[in-house]
Amino acid sequence: MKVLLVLSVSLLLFGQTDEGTAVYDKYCSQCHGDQGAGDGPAADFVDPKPRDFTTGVFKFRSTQSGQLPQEEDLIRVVRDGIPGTSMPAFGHIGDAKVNAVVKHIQPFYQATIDRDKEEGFYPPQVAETGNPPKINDAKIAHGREVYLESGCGDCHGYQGRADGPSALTLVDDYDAAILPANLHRGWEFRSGHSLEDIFKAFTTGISGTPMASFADAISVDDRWDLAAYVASLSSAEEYPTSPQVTGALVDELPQTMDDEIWDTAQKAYFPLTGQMMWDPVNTHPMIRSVSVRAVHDGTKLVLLCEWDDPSYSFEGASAPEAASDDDDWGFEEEGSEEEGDFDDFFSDEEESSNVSVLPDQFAIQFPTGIPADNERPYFVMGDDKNAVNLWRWSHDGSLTAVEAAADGQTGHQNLWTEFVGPVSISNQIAKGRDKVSENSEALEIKGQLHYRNGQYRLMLTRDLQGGSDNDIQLEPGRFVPMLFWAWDGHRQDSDAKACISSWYFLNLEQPVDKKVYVKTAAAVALTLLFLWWATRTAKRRALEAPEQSNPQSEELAV
Amino acid sequence: MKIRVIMMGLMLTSVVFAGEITGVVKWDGNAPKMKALKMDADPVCAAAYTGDAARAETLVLGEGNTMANIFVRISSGLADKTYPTPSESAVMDQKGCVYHPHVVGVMVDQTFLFKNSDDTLHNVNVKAKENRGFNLGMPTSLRESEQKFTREELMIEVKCNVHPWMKSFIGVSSHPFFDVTGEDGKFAIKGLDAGTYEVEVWHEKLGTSTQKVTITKDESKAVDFSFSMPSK
Repeated sequence: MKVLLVLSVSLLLFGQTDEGTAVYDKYCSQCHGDQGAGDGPAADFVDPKPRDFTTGVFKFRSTQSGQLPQEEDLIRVVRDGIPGTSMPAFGHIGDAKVNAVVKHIQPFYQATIDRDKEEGFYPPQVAETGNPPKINDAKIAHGREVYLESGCGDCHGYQGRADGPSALTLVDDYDAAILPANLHRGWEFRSGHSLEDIFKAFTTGISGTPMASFADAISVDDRWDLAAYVASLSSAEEYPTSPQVTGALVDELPQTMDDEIWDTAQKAYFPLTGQMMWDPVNTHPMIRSVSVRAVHDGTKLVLLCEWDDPSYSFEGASAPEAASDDDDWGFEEEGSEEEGDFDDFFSDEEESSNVSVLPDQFAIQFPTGIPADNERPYFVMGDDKNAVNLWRWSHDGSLTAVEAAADGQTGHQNLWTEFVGPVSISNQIAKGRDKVSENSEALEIKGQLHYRNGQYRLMLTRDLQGGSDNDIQLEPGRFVPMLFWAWDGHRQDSDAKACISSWYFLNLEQPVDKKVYVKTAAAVALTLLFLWWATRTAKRRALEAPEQSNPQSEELAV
Repeated sequence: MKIRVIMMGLMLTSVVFAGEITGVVKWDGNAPKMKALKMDADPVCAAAYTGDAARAETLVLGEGNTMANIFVRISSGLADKTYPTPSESAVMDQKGCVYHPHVVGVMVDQTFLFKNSDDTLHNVNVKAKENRGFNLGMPTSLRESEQKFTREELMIEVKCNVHPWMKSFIGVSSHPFFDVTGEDGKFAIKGLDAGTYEVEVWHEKLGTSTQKVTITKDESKAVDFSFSMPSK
């Protein structure tokens, strides 16, 4: 009885309702825990980790840094979810339930509320925003300047592809590795990608992450320009996806990636995801799409593939790792007379903060030989019956570095990473993920690679036909299944642990048959002839009309 | 006005004549060589060190293995009263992509000034738990920022995510009886009334240890501390 009384009193005090409790227990406690400490039974299986409400730290706010969110901020997160995380959208349960559950979690951070109340920070103060301006090119260009001057590129990279010099070392407040947002993929922004959302992100900061508040450092107007610049980097279409790539027929094949032909070629977008069918699975696919363009001249095919990878990794290279707050004391290995003491204490420590990486890789997968209609091999590198042909690049490090000055950019050289050169492409046959062999007597595939500031561009050239039985035979007019693989060596991707697309199609434009023109001309002539005949007949009838109309009406009358 | 002058006079005399606890903190063991910080990710940082590189500050020892960056405070024995907040600011500067000082004490509600003397972006990620934590972006357009800590908190970790080697600690004390050792390992806590106090020393990796000290009126007493590598 006493317990019940206490319970009901606490409910009254904290605004927890039966409805809020029911919703929380049904949908939230699995990850966020019974008492909101982020320790539910499923917590270990999600990444990023579920929020621990008891800390009173919330990422997505419209309020000033260091303050609690508004209730509307929390309602939005529950209703719309957080893209790219395990937090789903719960809008479908209805506003009443969403509101109730947001009220329900309040007592979990009551201590923070009490503290802020005492100090005059509760209710929290909304960060000043002013009114969003009309965007124009000048504002975007100025936003770009603000971006570079304010050091955004230190993490987000020179061109916003999350490849800044500090990007790979970042950790969140739980000491887990965290990556800066790739600003070219606005639809994946955790806190939304409207102009207001972007403005809000660097105004309020994202608590618990390295993303700081710049409200004191950058004026409101400059922040709007910065938001305009960031927004301009992403395509208007969210998650752009194409069913196929059409290879146009051209007179002269492009010799470089910067050839004007590419400007007119169709750019297809194919999404990639983690390979999840076979161990080791890839739960954190880093490369999430590839854009592909194709042209051919009737004998050769040229493909231009582009994908974002914030880390430039090749065989034998090393890279910085997330600077988690471990027990590293920062002792040098040599130097002390009895270093044994320290070694003993830190025997399981890595001396270097660098990790060795695996090579970045990329592959295009086709069926072998002449593709049969509607039949595609098993998507994870085929199987015993249906082999696949892989055109595969693996980074051996043999590229030439390009100086930042080449682009005319100075002052931000440390943000610049550029490499270029010819690369060798292996032609492989796979009969399953673990049965990959080199394709003998295969057609040569020529490769040109360009890495710049977080983006790979790979240009491949191959004869349409020839080679061995295992080479895909390309024929204009015939749809050919194609699929894409990408490996991020920095994340230790290799073999089946990869990013993979599903099957898409390559369609090469057919040369136009000369007979087409003759047939068209004949058809036009015949049509004109018929029209002339029809008109003449009608006119003649019209002239004879008086005599003809009467018998007709008589017939009708009968 | 008169009262104020008298009050100040009283406070001054109390500082001059009241008891104090002094001492030295030493490292008991071999002096390890600290890792040179690798700053080439940011040329602004790297350019600040033309000669000797900056080294990790987990353990900063002076001659004779004296320990710097030890936060020393009276942890118990003080009368239960509120102490005036100093009007000057406690300062932490970001210079050469290192925090100066590495450990700093401040009183509750005293102004705390974060400075950025570097021509690069630092973010001041104040990972407070008792106080309101915040993460302040300090690009070159924001050279100084005044903040306040409203609650006692020992210690608050401060990090720069842009430069992951940058870390420092702020001790927020409810009273003025604290000090941070320099390379000579020395501390002095002045202005104490007669009584028995617990003196606590804190190191970022080694935690705390305490000693009880009794002083009579206007007595100055020395108490030394030593830290050693914890056994496994």
